[in-house]
Amino acid sequence: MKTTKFDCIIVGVGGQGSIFASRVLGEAAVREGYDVISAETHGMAQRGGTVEVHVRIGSSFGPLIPLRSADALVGIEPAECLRFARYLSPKGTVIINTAPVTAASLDYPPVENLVKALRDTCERVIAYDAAQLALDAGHPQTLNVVMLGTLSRMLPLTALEDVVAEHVPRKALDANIRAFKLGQRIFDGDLVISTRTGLASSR
Amino acid sequence: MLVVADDPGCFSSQNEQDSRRYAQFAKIPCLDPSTPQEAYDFAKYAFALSELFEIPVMLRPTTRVSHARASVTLSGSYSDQRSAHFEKDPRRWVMVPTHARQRHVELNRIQPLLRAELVSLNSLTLKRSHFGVVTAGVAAKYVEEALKKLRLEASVLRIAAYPTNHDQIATLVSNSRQLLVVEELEPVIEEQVNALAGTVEVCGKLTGHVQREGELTVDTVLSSIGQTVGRFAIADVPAALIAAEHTLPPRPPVLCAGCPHRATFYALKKVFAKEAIYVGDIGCYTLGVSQGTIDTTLCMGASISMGSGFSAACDKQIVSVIGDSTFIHTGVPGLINAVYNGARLTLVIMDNGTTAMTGHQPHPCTGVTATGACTVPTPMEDLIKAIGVQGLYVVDPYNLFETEDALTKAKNSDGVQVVIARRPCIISTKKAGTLAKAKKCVTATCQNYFASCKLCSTLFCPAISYSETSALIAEDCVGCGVCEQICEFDAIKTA
Ligand code: SF4
Ligand code: SF4
Repeated sequence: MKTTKFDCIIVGVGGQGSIFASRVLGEAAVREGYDVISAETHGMAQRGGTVEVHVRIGSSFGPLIPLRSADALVGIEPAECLRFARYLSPKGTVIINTAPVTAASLDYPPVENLVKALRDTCERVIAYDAAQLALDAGHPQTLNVVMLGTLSRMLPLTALEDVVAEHVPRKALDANIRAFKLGQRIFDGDLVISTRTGLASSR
Repeated sequence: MLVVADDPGCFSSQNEQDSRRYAQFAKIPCLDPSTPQEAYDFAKYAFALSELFEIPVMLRPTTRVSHARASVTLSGSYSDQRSAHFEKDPRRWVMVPTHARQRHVELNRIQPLLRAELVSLNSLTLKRSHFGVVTAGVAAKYVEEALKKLRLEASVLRIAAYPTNHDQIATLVSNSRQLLVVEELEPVIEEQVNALAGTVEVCGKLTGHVQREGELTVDTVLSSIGQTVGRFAIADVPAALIAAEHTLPPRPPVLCAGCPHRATFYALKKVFAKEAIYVGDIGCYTLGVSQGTIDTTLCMGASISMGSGFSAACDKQIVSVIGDSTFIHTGVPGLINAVYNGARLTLVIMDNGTTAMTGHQPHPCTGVTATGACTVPTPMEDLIKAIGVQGLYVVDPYNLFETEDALTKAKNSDGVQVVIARRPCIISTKKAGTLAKAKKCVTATCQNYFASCKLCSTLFCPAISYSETSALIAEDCVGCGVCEQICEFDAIKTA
């Protein structure tokens, strides 16, 4: 049985802005009068490890989302996305960036396989090259905001874009707003990304 | 108020200790919040409680309370304008045996008063059910959610403060036939419930119904309740998903590209080889374990004190590895001991000018206080010299030749030799905007030699990866130039 209004998991690797995304989300929810609780898990070092954040909107419980309960799973990094897919509810939505963060030491499986595993087991998967959209928006670091944009279409919140605008550095404001809107258009389905070039074009 | 955050699951700790045991041992009250809101409320209350009983109060959150963010309702700021004043009272403040005996009587006298005072923090909800749960901390929230998911009626006693109140436990016992105790870490409450339970069945960690180690979650609580009352709601994760998860590579934390520690470890391994015993400490440099240059990690300062022990007990080369902030925190007494008692070891202080792992806090050698004010910096070299070490070298770890040279000299000398490898943390450098933008790239020559080479892979820099024919240098290279010094074919050049 459902115990909260909206449960969301945001995962990525250190430096991709998972924690920033969760804070913005939490603050937008607080502003609209919801009780919010979130918890982050990351490794010992400053950079490069897995970062997992649970955000519960309209919840009076603990911060950890039970298995198979999250309404949305935002995977800023594809392998990390699959790693936490067991938290997604059978009715939940996956939003996955298809651009991996890998290293020589990682035996990284093909991204198509990761997306396929998600499609096979999750009801709804929105997969796209969000890193490319971030570049299109004007800055690679807007990756997390692109994905927040896509997520925003599923949320019971209206203040998210404003809260993003308040929290990004001034000089990066325009790029972030562009990124947010590009992410929204992905959800709306009026932006197609060529699988060949990775470039987005309007439908 | 003493705040101790316990870490079930060891997310960033060396052990899963339960500080409630220490509160019990010291006979001080301990408050156990289950949410950030309670942590806030209890912190305020702790000061009042401490004043009332003239006793320190422990606030003990666990990981999911301390590493959580939540909407919190504030209740006005707490400020105390009184200036501190000390009343001389030797019987109260000078703990010689005659006074200490009296204070012990006093400490015992207030225990029942504390129990009575703290009772209002706990909550007891009695239901018409034979099943009761006793719980505490964040686990109380998991219990609430699990019972809701199961639509199960149960009486619940939620303990929020210690020493626990026996009357509440007794009331629950008399209302129930079966009890489940759900708490993180040690069975502190369970032991007390057991003592009062009589013939009522008590399930918990001691009976195997609740896991003994690691972190609890709603799911583990669901399974504990299921095992106890036979009502289950176990999440069923599709087998295909579990199979797919197994194809994922683990992503262990790594030192940053351009981290000066990596260069120091490289030099260490070259000079001291595999045979030396590398005694480590607490910091980012614990990750040197993947480079084969950390053999032990226990607690802050242990690199030097354990190193002294190794040097007394065996005739291997001993290398103690510690960071600057840990050295100043707990390394100094160990160094005094090592020198005074004639240890033979090389101490490498990896001085990156900050406390990197916990988020770049300043420490006494930086000349900045925790509030950001400037102060007198503790002179590291003068301090070390004053202790009387036999050799002291200061090197730049980005300069491999210089670093290896100093380490070799240290290795071949007697007594305690100290090598300070000094270079700011790469994150501080980036934040300060002083990173020289000299990115490296691999030139065509790498392709000719690559198949038999891969020498730079021994550095483990995450910015270096390999294609079929050549090394590749990624965007996150900071241009430290260490790989360039390692490459024997001049294949790596500044872009
Ligand atoms: S944060 Fe600093 S000390 Fe830690 S791994 Fe990165 S560069 Fe090294
Ligand atoms: S110069 Fe070499 S070792 Fe240094 S960060 Fe770049 S790739 Fe890594």
